[in-house]
Amino acid sequence: MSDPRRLVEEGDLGASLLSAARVLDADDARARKIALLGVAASGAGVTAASIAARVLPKSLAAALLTKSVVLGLVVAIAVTSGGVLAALSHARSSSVAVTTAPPRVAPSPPVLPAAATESPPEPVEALSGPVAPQSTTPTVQARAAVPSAVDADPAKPAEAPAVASSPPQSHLADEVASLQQARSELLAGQPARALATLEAHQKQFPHGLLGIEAEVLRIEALARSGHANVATARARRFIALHPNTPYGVRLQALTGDAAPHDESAKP
Amino acid sequence: MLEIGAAFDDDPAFGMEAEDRDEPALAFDEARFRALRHEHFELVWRSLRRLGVPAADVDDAAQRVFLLAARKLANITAGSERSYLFGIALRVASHARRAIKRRGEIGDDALAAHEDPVPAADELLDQRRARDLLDEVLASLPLDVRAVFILFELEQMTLAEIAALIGAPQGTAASRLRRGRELFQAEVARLKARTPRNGR
Repeated sequence: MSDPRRLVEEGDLGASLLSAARVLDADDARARKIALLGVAASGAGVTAASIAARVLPKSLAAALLTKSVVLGLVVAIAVTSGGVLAALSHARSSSVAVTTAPPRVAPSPPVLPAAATESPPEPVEALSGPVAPQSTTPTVQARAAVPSAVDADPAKPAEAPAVASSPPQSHLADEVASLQQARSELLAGQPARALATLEAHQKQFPHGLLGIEAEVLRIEALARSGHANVATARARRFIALHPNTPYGVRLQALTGDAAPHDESAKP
Repeated sequence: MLEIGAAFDDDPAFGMEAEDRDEPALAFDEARFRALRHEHFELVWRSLRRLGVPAADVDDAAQRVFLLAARKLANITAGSERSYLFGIALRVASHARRAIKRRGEIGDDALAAHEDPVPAADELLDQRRARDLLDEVLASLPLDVRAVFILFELEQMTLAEIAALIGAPQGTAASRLRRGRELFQAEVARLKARTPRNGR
């Protein structure tokens, strides 16, 4: 059976509608993947980084996590709220047409270059109480989410679950619920509450499956509560540490300056 | 806009059928879950959007799809991931559409499409506007028909691929596609009739 010709090839109104959807949906899906998962569509290297963030020692993991999320944040804000950092989102302004709302927080161009690249990986702590990203203590719950950590006998995997005190499913659901709350607070114009919620989330799920999204929300909340500079600082730090990832390139456009690490290579 | 948390608030089981809920917990293969999500996130996101989930709710819906997939991960056989995820996406989209109807809400997109008179053809260069109009057009397609239509016309899959994905005979896929195209063309014609002709 041969397939019929596709309508998009017809060149009429219907075709225009379909072709718009093809392009825009693909762009949006890519952007949302980056925003929500913190991974580029084709960036295998970045995937490794985000996975490593959950396996590596906490401090390192937190550092990695922090960075990989910034890009997502910027895109997320541009796409979802059309707000805060919209002015920084040159990279996507052509395809993401949601940036109609004027930025509520001045993007304040290159204000914090030194701090961004030279300070040790704790820029947020100076900011406010509820935001310290590394103040975490692994909970029993969190461990239960990774039954693979249990001395699993590959021969009888069906018995492993008995070990987990709470099944991973409900754990995931809790994680989602917690993030939903933060998100609602954020959307309700209460970034401070959202930050507090996210802080609690971080403590409860230090190794959560949705850590990346949590970080996205956290940074978004930071930006909305007047700390846009921190987002920029994190972006710059990310570029400094991961110059060769797709993020680095994109972030470079978003921060509006050349990657700090690239000083010598600049033309 | 729909309240972000609403899709979850009114549905503690996240759309699961009753018999699905209390299955024994199996070892959770986190690495596999991540790979699954990484590989299929975009298809799932696009599909949800195209199956009628309002733009503002697609993130949540996608989250939900993967949450459900995580619960059933051990049941998903290798090679059938995409099909499985699309099946869940259909359910989630169906649920989202019903929820909208129940609340008597009209999604942002539908509202946007109705706010203004239909633009003249040359204005359709505005891609976002065109995208909103497509939502309006596709709203008339039953979900199973719509699924085949978007997979063929937008994902550009072959009928054979689509049949495999939705687990139906190819003849079924073909007839759904025919039906979808008829409905689509009829809606587009209606749209054209509303379009002001050359300087109204």
